[in-house]
Amino acid sequence: MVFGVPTQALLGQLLIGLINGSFYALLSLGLAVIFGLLNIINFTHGAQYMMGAFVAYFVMQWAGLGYWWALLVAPIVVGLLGVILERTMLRRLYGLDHLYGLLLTFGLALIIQGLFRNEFGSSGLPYAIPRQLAGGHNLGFMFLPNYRAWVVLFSLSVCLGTWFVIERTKLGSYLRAATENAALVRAFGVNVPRMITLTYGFGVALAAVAGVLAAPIYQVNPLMGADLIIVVFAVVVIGGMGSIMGSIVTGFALGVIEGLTKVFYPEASNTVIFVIMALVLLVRPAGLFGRAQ
Amino acid sequence: MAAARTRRAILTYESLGFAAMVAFFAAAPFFVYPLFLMKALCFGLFASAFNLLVGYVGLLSFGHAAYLGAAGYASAHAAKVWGVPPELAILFGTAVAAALGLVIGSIAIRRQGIYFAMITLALAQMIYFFCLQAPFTHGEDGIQAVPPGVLFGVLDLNGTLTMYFVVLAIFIGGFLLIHRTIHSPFGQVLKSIRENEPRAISLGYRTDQYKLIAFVISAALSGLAGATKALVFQLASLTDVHWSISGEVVLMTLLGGLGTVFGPVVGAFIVVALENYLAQLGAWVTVVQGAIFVVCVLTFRRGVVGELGRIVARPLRFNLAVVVEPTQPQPAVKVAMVNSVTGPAALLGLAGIQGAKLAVEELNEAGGLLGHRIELLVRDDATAPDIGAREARAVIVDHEVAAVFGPTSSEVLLAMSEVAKETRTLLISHTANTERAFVERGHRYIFSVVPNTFIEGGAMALYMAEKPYRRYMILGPDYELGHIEAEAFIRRLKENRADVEIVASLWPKLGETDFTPHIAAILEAKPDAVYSDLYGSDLILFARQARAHDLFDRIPFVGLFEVEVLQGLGKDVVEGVIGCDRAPFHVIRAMEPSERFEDFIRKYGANTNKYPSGWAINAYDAVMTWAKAVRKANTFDVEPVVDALEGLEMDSLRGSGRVIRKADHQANVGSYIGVVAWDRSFPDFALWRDATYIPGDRVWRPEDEVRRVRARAQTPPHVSEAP
Repeated sequence: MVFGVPTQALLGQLLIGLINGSFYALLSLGLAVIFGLLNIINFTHGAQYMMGAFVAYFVMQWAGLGYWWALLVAPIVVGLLGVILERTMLRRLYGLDHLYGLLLTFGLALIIQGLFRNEFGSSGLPYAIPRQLAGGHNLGFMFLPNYRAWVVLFSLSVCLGTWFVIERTKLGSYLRAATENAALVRAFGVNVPRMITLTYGFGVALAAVAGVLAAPIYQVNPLMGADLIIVVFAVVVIGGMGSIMGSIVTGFALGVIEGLTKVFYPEASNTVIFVIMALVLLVRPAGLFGRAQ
Repeated sequence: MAAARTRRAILTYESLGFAAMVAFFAAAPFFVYPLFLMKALCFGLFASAFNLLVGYVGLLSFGHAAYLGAAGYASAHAAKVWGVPPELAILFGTAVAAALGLVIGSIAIRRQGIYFAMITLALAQMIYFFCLQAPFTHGEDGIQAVPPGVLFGVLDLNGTLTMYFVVLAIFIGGFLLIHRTIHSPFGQVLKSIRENEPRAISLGYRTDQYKLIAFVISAALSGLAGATKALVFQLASLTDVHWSISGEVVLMTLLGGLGTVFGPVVGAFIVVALENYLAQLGAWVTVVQGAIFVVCVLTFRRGVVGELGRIVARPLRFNLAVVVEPTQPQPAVKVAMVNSVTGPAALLGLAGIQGAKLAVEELNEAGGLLGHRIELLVRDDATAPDIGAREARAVIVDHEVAAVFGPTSSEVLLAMSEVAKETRTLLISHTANTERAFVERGHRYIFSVVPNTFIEGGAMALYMAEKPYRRYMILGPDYELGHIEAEAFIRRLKENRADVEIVASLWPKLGETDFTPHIAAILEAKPDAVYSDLYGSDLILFARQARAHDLFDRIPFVGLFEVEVLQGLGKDVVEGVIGCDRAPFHVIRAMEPSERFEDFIRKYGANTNKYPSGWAINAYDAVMTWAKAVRKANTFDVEPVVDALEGLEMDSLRGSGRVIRKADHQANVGSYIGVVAWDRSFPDFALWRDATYIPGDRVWRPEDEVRRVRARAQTPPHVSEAP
């Protein structure tokens, strides 16, 4: 018993919090990467997360390829679709107010979600946990399903890998430089437009990875990303989009806080992240890790 | 003239559009299903309220469903559970939305742009979850069977038509309130925040408060729409709080035209109709909405009304109902005003800046020039020639301005003129008027829209020649302008009266503070009259000190008692002195009455709490005349614009017929002269009586003489001295 709550329930919610946190972290990381270079808030992110899950479902249904293949194929497919999107549409908005990017991606999200809902309804399609990760371990104080442990570990490593590439490699240094001053980086002979395209593709691919990870837990549902993206926006506002590590830490931390709220004051579990966002804005308008403009 | 026409045209189009809209909605229920119309009206008001924020303050709220939905719940609850009459239920719903707007607004305005959108979305989602869980909202069921009730105890809203016209009245009331807000001084500040918030802050506006007030108004009116809608449909449900409604209102406004007056209403009508017809198609509605979003953002950013206005009103060069676009497709064209913000001539300089600002505002409100927005850069010359030249050069080089306006001091003008000549930049002088800048040192790129010293001194001489005075004393600032204008006065006076003699000349330095020695000297010399070209703050100070010595009662005095000085003197003025002014509003409004001029006076008063002096009017005229030349040349390039200016009739508040002659680029502008006197109907400050206008071409230097003087001045000495 901790604060009058059974330890089992507490740890269970903590784990759920970590799972949610994994998705928040992956999605807000993608948003931050895209925002850094494109100055666009990608409203389609939730729909692309959903598409990741659907690609996993398709490769299973049509090609008989399992989860591990999906984890490879989904980011590539969704990332390529993202590249096409950037090349054909987003590119035309760079000279305009950033809000137009938000509106365009919002419209695209409506289209994608509407099309999938027409085709697959809104009840959701089942997706099985891969054989290798079925079952779980009894840790004595709680039961830890293998797949959930995998989701946390895998998303954490994807996040840290992304952080490493951006903060510690030459490629990442180009990216960061282009974020600061694209014109100057271009003058050094770096193909910045291509970099922008690939960055968008990569950010979107992260969303697709999150989608594949989510498929066995939440089923494959056309609207799985619609509400989630709003929470992720709040996460992004809380963390501030200035730092990669910031969005990772904020993502996981908020997931855990949300989980704990479910234990101690379930009525507020849906809104706690928004309340935290309001509080953070009152104290630090630039966000916890953001730079004041 | 053109601006007044377009302004009137905007108003006419708006009132025509408004009348058409009201007529349509009044007749519509007899042809179209009223419930559908009422939904369209509620969403039209909702979208208009949303547009107030996005179109005029530049804040994209992605959470406006919160106010629509929460107000709906509040009014439904009040009507059903508390049993209050509909007017109170609607009022309560509106108040709840306003309060919610105050809380959410004060958090959200801490960030801008995309963050603002995300924050409002997230906070609205919080409201959604609150409504989902709170017991009084009845969760998924919503509050059903809300009784519409009897309005004011008279109108039974159970009748569909009665309800319809009540909704229409509410819609019109809300619409007019928004219209009023946009066109008020408050609305102007909002637009300035949208255009350049740091600048609005530096002008002393507390932009956060303005934004918050706009946010609350927008939330309250969205609430009004939501509260009304709940009574119309007798239902308040989760649908109206959901984020998809927040998206829908963005869609309506975007489709109709962001920042247009009628756009949101048109957009709401289209979207509501679309939903009605596509209702059977389920999720296809979402797909169609998304597709409209994409098309609008990629190719149709002005929206239906914006595009329509562009097509209909193209010859008028403004966008029907598009007051200002949220993002300008064309880059702004910059012009500069280098003028005295500080230094001895600041009183005049600041008036000029205000005049120019009003002109630029008018141009932009009428859709800009050749499709470009005009941006006015203001630089301070500190009334010093070296600083003026430096600032002019900096602004020309750094910003590639299309034209430079200014300055006040004639010495600054001479210095700036060299820069203009060297950089081939158009320089239009609207206050500084030394004739040397236009004749001896005149060149292709300098223009004058003020009476130069030759005209001003000459006009005064012509006027004074009729007076019986013979022995004159001269009093003027000891620099370029003072000497040269006095010379012109003396020359012309002597031409008209052989017996005139100048007994003495006094030259206090510019910015002098103690005139006692000069006053004593005048009193001792006892001339028949004093001619003075002191101006601005110097004249105000001198007049106050001279009045203490009863100088004006003893000796007739002629000077630049123009509006700025009269306003500055207030009750300290002495009646009977003779004044000269380049554009006295009180004389012009009597000689050349026009709605445009009254409009200018009103706007100037709203911005500065003062009446416009000649300095302000001349600056306004300078900008408008340049704009006219740009339109004629159909380009901003300096050479064609200069060609267009030569021989052009000015676009002037002072009236018609003021043509710019080619020889010295001097506009045919004259001098107004009158006797300072109080006007019973105008208590603020003294005006003139017996005003006359002496046109420029009565006294200006003849063209052949201009050419001769310039040729002599601009020929190298070794040539002119050759036999």
